[in-house]
Amino acid sequence: MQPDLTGLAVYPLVVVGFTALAMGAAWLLRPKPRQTALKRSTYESGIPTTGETWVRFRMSYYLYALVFVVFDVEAAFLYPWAVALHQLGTFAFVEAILFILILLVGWGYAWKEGALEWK
Amino acid sequence: MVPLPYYFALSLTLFSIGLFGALTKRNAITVLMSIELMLNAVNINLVAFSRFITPQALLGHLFVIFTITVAAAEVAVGLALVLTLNRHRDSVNLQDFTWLRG
Amino acid sequence: MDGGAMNFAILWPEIITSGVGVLVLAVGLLAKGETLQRSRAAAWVGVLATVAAALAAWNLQGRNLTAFFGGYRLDDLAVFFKIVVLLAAGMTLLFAPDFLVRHFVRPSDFTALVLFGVTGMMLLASALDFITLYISLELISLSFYALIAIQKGEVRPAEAGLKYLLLSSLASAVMLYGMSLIYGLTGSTYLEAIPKAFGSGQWPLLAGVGVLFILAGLGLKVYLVPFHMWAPDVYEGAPVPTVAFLATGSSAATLAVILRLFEGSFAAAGGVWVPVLLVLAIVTMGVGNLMALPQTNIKRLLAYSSIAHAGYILLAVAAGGSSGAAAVMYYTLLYAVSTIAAFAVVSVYSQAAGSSDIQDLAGLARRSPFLSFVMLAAFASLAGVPPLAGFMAKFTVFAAAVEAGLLVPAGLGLVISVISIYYYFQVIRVMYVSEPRESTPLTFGWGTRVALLLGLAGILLLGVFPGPALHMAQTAVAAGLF
Repeated sequence: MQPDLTGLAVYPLVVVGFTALAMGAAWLLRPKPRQTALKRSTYESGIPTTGETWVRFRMSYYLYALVFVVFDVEAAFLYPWAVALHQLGTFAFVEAILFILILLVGWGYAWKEGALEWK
Repeated sequence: MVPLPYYFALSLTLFSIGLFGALTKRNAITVLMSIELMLNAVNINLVAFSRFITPQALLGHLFVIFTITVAAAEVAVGLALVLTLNRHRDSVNLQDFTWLRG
Repeated sequence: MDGGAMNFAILWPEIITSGVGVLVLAVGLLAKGETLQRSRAAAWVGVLATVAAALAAWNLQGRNLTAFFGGYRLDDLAVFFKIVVLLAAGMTLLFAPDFLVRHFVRPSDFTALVLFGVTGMMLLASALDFITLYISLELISLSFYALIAIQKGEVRPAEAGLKYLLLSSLASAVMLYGMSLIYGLTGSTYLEAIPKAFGSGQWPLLAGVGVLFILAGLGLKVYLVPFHMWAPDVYEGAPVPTVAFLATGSSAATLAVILRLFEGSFAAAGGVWVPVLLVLAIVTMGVGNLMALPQTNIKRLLAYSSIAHAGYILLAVAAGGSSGAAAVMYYTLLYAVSTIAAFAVVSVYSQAAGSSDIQDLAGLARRSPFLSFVMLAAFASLAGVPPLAGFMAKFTVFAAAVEAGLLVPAGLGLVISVISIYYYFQVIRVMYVSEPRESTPLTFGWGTRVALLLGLAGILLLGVFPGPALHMAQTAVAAGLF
């Protein structure tokens, strides 16, 4: 059976329309001063930016990424489980809860070890 | 629909590139990436075979989910070890590790 | 899909070890500081878990049941290997605490990781399809990556861990590609579907490639030359208790699956892999025994000894048949007991000496007669001196090879194995004849004492009364591989 896709077709129209409307209204309402070098800088009333974009990142970012990956992959199992849960019944529910509990222990470990702290 | 041999050729090419990279590169992270390439070649194989040979059983799809998970876990541990070594040596080059020959 | 999709009664050994592992990890997080008492407590909980799991496995003998939609089988072969890996884990946990406390490793982490590793090994011994096989193999590998690099702030263990990780994941990627080829050709991931799909006729070329790829992937875990390169470096860099478990448990569980695959699924393709495996087995024996001769570090020596013993075991795999399979199982058991006993001694003396050089063993006989006697028994057993267990094991392997008509390989193996006597007795000579550098007696805890006694008892009993264990192996093989 083919699902009804008319809603999906209307959706991009609404998205584009709403964005155009909001930005158009802002353009109409805002004051329009003369463009200067200061106006064109990245942060007009902030600190001038220094250095290049291609710097080495700190290791802390990787630690966050590692913890993220664990829970990212969890989703790969929970998606099919959630879709099929109605047919699988209580037993599958208990199994998935166990799975999440084991992952929670891992998360608690990462927390306790300070992997979530910014050093 | 694209016929099966094309998928197989793609996966074989990816696998060979990955194997070549894993055996010749001297940077630990590049080696990890090459191994990842090999695993993705396997995933293409499994999904393609699943689609063409056992379209009802979804066995290949099931296998792929597990492969992805294990690959992620492996890379996470691998990167953690590389980070530990990096703190001591400031290098991820396999030749800089005293007796590690990869 | 028959035989019960979810049969939890047969999963008790795995449920016990994994459940206790998670609990130990969680409770360990709450404790602060690593005292010797805490370390021993965590290890004893782990030991009790392995004993409970072993009893559960023992009770499941004589059954033939499946779970997980036929991906998991509990038969006597699985029970035998489960008991071997649980024995390895239990003995490791018995002597580990003294070492861990000295090296500032959190004991609950070590215990939990050993329990997770042994869970993977037990699953692997029962794996009956490629998915279960792959996941349990990776559960073992992931536990060991962490166990090898568990000493915080030290470089060498981390390097060893990275080396093992890179090579092991490379090997498993190759193995996985082989599995995907066989899945593509048979349309099934079940091991029993493979012979049904191909029959006994000519196997397609791609299936042969798949078989060899799988052999390469599993070969790394059992030290098959040319995939053995990691062993000496990892043995030297990793903590002693980890190495003891790695040397015995990981290869034992992999041998279970090698038996199922190569004696069961791929038996009809013997023309492809038997000649390859036979040559590799002889080369493995040769490399292991010859490279062991110049070693000055006991851990590197034991690494090459592991490689050499892998050669004998793989000769029995190549010989095949029921006597070949039974020889593999008996050899694995004896090798596990002797090797862990040797590592327990290494653990005690290397902590006192601060190094694992063979020279530091000098005069061990005078500093601790008990330790040196256990080491003597373990090494004499590994060298194959009658009436110890190692002699019976080598005898069953060579008898199986002769029975299979492999006279030349068996003869070569016998000649090569004579070399091993030299390097094992070199170590024994240092222990008993050389002058000690220090004279302080060595001390060790109760756990270590129990592990040493267990090892000694195993070496003597398995040698003098090989009957029960051999009988168990033979009935397991007779019950069929799947």
